[in-house]
Amino acid sequence: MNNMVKMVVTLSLISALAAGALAFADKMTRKKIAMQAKLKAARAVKKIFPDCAAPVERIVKSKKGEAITVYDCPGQKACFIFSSNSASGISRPYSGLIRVMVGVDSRGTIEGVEVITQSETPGLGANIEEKSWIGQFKGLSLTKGKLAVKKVDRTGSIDAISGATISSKAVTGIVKAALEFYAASGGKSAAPSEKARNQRFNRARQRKHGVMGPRSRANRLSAPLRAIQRKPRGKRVRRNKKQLEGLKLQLREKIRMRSSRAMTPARTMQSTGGAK
Amino acid sequence: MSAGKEFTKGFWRENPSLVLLLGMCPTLAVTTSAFNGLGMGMATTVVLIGSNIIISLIAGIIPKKVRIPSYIVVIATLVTMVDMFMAAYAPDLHSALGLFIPLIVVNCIILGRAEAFASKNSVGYAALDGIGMGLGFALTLFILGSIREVLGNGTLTVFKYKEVLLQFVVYHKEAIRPVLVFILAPGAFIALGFLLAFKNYIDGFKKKNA
Amino acid sequence: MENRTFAVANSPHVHDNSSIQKIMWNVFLALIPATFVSVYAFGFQAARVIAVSTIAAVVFEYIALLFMKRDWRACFDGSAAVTGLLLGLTLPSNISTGIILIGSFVAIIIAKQVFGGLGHNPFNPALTARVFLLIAFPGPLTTWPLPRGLENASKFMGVATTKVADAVTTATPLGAIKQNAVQAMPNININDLVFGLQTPGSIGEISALALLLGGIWLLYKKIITWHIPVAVIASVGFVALITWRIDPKHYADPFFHFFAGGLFIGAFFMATDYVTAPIFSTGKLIYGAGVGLLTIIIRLWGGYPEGISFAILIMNAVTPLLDRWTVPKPFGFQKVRSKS
Repeated sequence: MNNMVKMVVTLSLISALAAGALAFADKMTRKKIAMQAKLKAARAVKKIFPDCAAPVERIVKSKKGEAITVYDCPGQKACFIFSSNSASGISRPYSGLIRVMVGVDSRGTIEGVEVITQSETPGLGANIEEKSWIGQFKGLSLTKGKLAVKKVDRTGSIDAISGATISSKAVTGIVKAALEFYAASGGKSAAPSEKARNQRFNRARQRKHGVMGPRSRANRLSAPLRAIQRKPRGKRVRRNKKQLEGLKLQLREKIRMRSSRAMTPARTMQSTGGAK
Repeated sequence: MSAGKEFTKGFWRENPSLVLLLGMCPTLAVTTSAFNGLGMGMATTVVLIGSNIIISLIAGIIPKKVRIPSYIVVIATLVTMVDMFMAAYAPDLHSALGLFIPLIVVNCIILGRAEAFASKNSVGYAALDGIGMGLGFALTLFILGSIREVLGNGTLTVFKYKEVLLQFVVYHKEAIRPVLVFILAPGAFIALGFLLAFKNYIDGFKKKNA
Repeated sequence: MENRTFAVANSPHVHDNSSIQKIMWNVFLALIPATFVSVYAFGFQAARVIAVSTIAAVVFEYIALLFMKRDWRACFDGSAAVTGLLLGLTLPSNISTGIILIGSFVAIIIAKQVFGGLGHNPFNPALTARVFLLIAFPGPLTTWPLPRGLENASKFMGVATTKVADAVTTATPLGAIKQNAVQAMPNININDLVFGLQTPGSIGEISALALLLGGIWLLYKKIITWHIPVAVIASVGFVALITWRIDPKHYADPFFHFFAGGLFIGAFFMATDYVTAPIFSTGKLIYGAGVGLLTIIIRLWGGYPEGISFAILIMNAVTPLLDRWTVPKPFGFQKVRSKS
């Protein structure tokens, strides 16, 4: 029994000491790591737009809910980091995650692409970092050229690295998804598409009339409300008026919060490259 | 055994990768370039020295039944700390080795030395053993990385940090086609096999002439 | 009483006077038609590839035997020469001499002698070398020069040809199907595939007829048995038939799969390698079926247009298991019933 106690005590002691050491190390390095990540991003921005001295950061939510930091540069140019996990449907990298910085001008044409992190095979897939390959993206856009690897799609405008088709495909997919993301949500300078205009209109109407206001059905966010109003088929759930009002209120609050979060620039600076 | 011998045994007689055949995962996986091998070796050396010292100090007070978990906790803590400091102060190296740093925890060399040597010897010897074994490991990885990089890519990267790049172009890719397979996993096995055979050949040669 | 000495030896005790040399010379002979066709189609280049790979294989064998202090005369037993010849036949004719030398080195040193020489290698040496080269030099191993008579063609089976530095290259029939099945399908010419005079591809795989002749010679000489080739071809045909009947627009018919690519050279010459194939008939049938299935699976849905080399190597790994599993019952053998 005594032996047992001794074992427990020593193991706990060692664990506690280890935890202490880790906490200390974390405290010492956390700021530095965050800074390194930021530095890396800043360096990449500088590489793409050499004359952009002070990029303005703002955070935009991607479709998958990821916070994406967009660096706005003068002349309506912008840079942002997009990874192979930021959107669905990107062909997977050979190993791990690839994050690339994409720089676009006001019309959504690529000005430059830089690889931020990757863990592809050195000497093969890692060649995606080489200027001669990644430079191919310059001048392309969603409408100009075709963002596809030639080996897969004969009309594509990107030559795959020989022996590293998977990595080449992954980066091409990321860049394409990044442009689509930018056109859909982040590109404030891009001419608003019809869909975006409709959304803005709807949002304005919401603010005026509330969610339940006239013709709010067009709004995507009102779907849950409709579900409450509609008499459920099959099982009849009776809700009294008071309950219904309460639910409406809750949802309205939620919607307001969501739309305001998406529209206003984030004030807090978030680290982008974070700890692994 | 003399202190000098404890230090030098890691380089040849008890070389961790070529004789003990420990730590094969990093040996095969990260040696795609000479510098990657060196970096991995150095990170392992740091952890190995630290873990050897700490374990030889605390070995006396740890009950025998919980020694393995204790060693693992100590090693894991050290590795995580190395990982953090590397990310903070050498981010380029960190991004190159990234995935393999956490793997040091389960690297057999460290646990093997802790169990077989550090727990039975005094601090001074344990530290010397750690340095010798670590540097021997680093040297082997460097040589293996050099072979693979030269054959598979035509270059030899000795040092790479931020803007400083010490890289020799052994031959031009356009003139001589590099044997791509040496960068890939099968090439690692083939190169390691030939390295092992070469070492044994020399050992046999020495034995005959001794 | 007369004094007699009895020699005590291991089985086999009945010997039909065959030897390694005899077997290997027969294999050599069987490969001659295919070699002639390829030299006619690709000209001097094909002869160069075959000569270099064969001679280099023998030389490497000689060096390895010297190095291991064995009888160096064993390098002339023909096995190294056959390995070299088979390797040469699996390469494109415009490949550079350096790559052939590396291939012969891998075949003889890494795939054969490192494991202990003839009879001890788990994987077919020629195919190991070919796959090594395919992974090491993906570019040169997948560009195919146009054969005689097609030099000025701008398209082969619907796929445009490309001009490289010194030659016009194109896709193999299987490559064309892989790239764009719908476009290539109407251009299949079974005649060409059978005679192989106007088909791009590896040196030795182009003429199905020449390979079939060689295969029949081996069967006639009882160098090989029918089990492996028949199982390979039947299983390829079976899957090809099913997919073709389901969707004839995207999947080629079985005859195309028989005659295109390296199926015949693989089935008759590579898969039947004594060292790396199972010994017993049942095992041979399973092994052959496995090779065929893997081949057609890689051809239809895999990343490479041709899969027979991978298929044979994978099944080589299974061979020891098959040998253990398919030991035939000795005559009169009965299982001892456990007492209950």
